[in-house]
Amino acid sequence: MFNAIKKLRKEKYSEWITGYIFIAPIIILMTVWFYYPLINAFITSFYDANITKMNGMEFVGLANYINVLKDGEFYNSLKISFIMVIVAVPLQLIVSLVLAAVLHTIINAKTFFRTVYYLPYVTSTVAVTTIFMYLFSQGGIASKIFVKFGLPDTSWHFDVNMALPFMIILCVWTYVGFYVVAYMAGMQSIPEELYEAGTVDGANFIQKFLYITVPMLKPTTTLVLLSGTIYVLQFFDQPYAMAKGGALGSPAGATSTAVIFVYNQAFKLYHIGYGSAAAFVIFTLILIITVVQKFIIEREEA
Amino acid sequence: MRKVTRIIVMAVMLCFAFAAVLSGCGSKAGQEAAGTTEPAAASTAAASSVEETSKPKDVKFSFWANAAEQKNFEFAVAGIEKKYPDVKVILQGYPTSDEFWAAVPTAIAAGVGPDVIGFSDEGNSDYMVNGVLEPLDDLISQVGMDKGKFVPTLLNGWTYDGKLYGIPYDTSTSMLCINADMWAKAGLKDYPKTMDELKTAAKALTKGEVKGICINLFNFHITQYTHAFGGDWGNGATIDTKENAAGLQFIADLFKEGLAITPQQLSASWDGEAFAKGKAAISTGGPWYIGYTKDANKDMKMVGVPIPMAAMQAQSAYSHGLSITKMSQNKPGAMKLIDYMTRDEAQNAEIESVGYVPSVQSLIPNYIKSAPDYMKTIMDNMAVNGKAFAYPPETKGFDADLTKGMQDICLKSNSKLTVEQLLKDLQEKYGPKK
Repeated sequence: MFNAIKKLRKEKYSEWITGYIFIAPIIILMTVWFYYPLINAFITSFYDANITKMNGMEFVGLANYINVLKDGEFYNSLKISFIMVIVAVPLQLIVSLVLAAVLHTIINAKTFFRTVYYLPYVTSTVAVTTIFMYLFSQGGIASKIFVKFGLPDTSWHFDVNMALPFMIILCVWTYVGFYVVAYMAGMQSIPEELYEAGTVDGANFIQKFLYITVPMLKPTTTLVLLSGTIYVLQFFDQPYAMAKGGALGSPAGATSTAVIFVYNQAFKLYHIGYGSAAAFVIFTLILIITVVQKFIIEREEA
Repeated sequence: MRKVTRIIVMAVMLCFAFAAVLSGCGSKAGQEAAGTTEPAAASTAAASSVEETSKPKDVKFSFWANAAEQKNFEFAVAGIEKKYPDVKVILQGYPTSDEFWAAVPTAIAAGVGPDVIGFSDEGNSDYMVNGVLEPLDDLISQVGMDKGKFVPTLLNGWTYDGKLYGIPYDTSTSMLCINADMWAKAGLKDYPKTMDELKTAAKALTKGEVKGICINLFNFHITQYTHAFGGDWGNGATIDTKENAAGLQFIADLFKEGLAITPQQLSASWDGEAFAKGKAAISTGGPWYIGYTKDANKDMKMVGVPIPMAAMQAQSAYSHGLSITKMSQNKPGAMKLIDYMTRDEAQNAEIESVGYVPSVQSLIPNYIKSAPDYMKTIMDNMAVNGKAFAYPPETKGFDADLTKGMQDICLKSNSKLTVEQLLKDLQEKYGPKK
C-alpha cells in the first residue's frame, strides 16, 4: 500500500517536472521577448527617455500620461482606430458569416474554397498592401471600378478622403478568411436535427439561417467581435507599408492609427517614454473594451 | 526513473537549442538582417596582418546605401590595413535611411552602437547638441588629417559650438530638374529663372494626367521654396517669418491650382521615380537625379538648372559625412578610418561609381569633367548662393509636423489650417525656449 502511494507520487512528480521542462522554452522566449519588454516599457513610461539624449532618463512621474491625454494627435489616431472598429468589425462579421453559410451548403470543393478565403490571412501583410495599392492607384483596376459609382479616380492610399476607406477594405479583406473558417467550424457543430425540425415546421433557408444558425453561432460571434476589435485596434503593418518609408500617417494624418502614433513617437521621433505611455493608454482602452464587450455578450446569453 | 532522465536530457537539449537560436538572432543573424557585410578584402587582409603586427581592433561603420553605394563604401575601406594595420573595419549597411534611423540610435543608446556613422547633415543637429557624437578636432590632429582640403561651407554643416563633429565625404546640392523633351513639346523656350516663370511653365506643362511640378512634401523640397522667397529656418529661431510663409503659400497655390502633385499621389515612392516615369515635368532634386533617371528611363533627356528665385537666389549646400560616436571604444581607429575613406582615390572613385560630387575642393573639377554640362552652372551657383538647411535641433519632429501641416493645407479641399498658423505652431514647438 505504502509502496503504491510512493510510486503514484513519483509518477505525479515526474509528470510535473516533465510538463514544466517542456514549457520552459516558451516561458524563456516569452520572458525575453514579451514580459521583460512589457515591464521595461511600463517603467520607461514614467521617464523622459529620448534615445538621442545621452544624459540618461529623467523621472517625470505621470507627466507622459497627462501629456498623452492632452495630445490632439493622439485623439486623432484614436478616432481613426475607432472608426475602423465601428465600420470594419461589423462588416467582416457579416461578410464572413454569409460566406461561411454559403460555403457550408456547398458539397464539392469545400476545402478548396476554405483555403482560398483563408489565404489572405496568412499572406504577408506588406505584400497584400502593396498589391492593393496598385489596384487602388490612379488608373488602377479597382479605382476604375469605383469611378463608375461616382468616386474619384485617385490613388486611394494617398487621398485624404479615401485613405481610411482603403484601410478598412484592406482590413476586412485580410481578416475575413480567418472568420469564415471559424464560422464554418461553428456551423459543423450545430446538430442536424435542428434543421430537420425547422424543415418539418416549414422554415425556408433564410428562416433557418436567422433562427437556428445565427443563435447557435453566438460563441463564434463573440470570438469574432472580441478578436476583431483587438486586431483592428492594433492595425499597424498596413499603414506602415502604405507610407513606403515616408512620413507615417500620411496623408495629413489620415492613416495614423493608434499604434502608428505609438511607433512614430517611440521609434521615429525617439520619445521612448512618451510612446510607452501612449502604448499603455491604448492597452488599457483595449482591455476595458474587451471586458465590457464580454460582459454584455455574456449577460445577453444568460 | 530512466525515462524521466531521458526526458530531462531531451528538454535541456531543447532549451540549449533555443538559446543557440536566440544568441544567433542577436548577433550574426541580426547583422545579416541589417545587411551587414565584412568586406572580404578588408577582413582577410587585415586578418593576415594580425600575426605580423599588433592585433587590429574593430571599427564598426554603419550607414545606409543602395547596391551601388554599398560597393562604393566597400571600395573606400578596402586596403586600409596597408595604411593602418591596427584597424579592422566592419561594415554595417542598411538598405534604407528609415531602417538605419530605426536601428542605429537605439543601438547607440544601448551602448552597442557603431564607432562611425555615415549620414547627412540634414539631421545631425540632435546628435551634435545632445552629445551623441565625439568632437573631432583633437583626433584630426592626431592622425594628421588636413581638414582644409574640404569645401569650407560644408564643414559649417558639421560644426556646433565651435567644434567639428563630422567630415563630409560628398558635396550635395539642390537644383530644379526639368524633362527637356516635355519642355520643348510644350513650346517653352528659356528655362525658368524666377518663381513666376516656374509657375507659368507649370501651367503650360500640365496636360491630362501629367502635372507640371512634382513636390514631395517634406522638409528638403519645401525648404527649396522657402529659401527662394528669402526665408530661413534659422535653426528654429526664424520659423515664423513672412518669407517662409510666402514660400509655403507658393507651394499651396501650386496644389490648389492643380499644377503640382506629390509622388505618392502618382503611386511613386519618391519624387525622382515620378519624374523619371514622365508623370511630372519638373521636380526639385539634386545631382542624384542624373544617375537615377539614366537607369530608370534611358530615353529621357533631363536638364538641371539653379532653383528659380523669388526674393533671392538660393541653393542648398550640404553633405553626407562621417562622424564618430561618443560611445566608441576605439576613437583613434575610427578617425583613421575616416581619414582613409576621404582619401583622394576614394573621392575620385565615388564620382564614377555613384555620381557623387567630391567634398575635397580640389577634386570637384574632376566631377565637372565627367558630369553633364549644366552641372558646372549648378556647382558655380552653389559656391556663391549655397545655403545650409538650418533646421531646428529636433529635426525629425519638425519635419514630421511640417510635412503633416503642408499635406493638410495642400491636399485637403476643406483645410482650415493656414500657412501662417502652421508656422506659428512650429515656431512655438521648435523655436528656442524662453
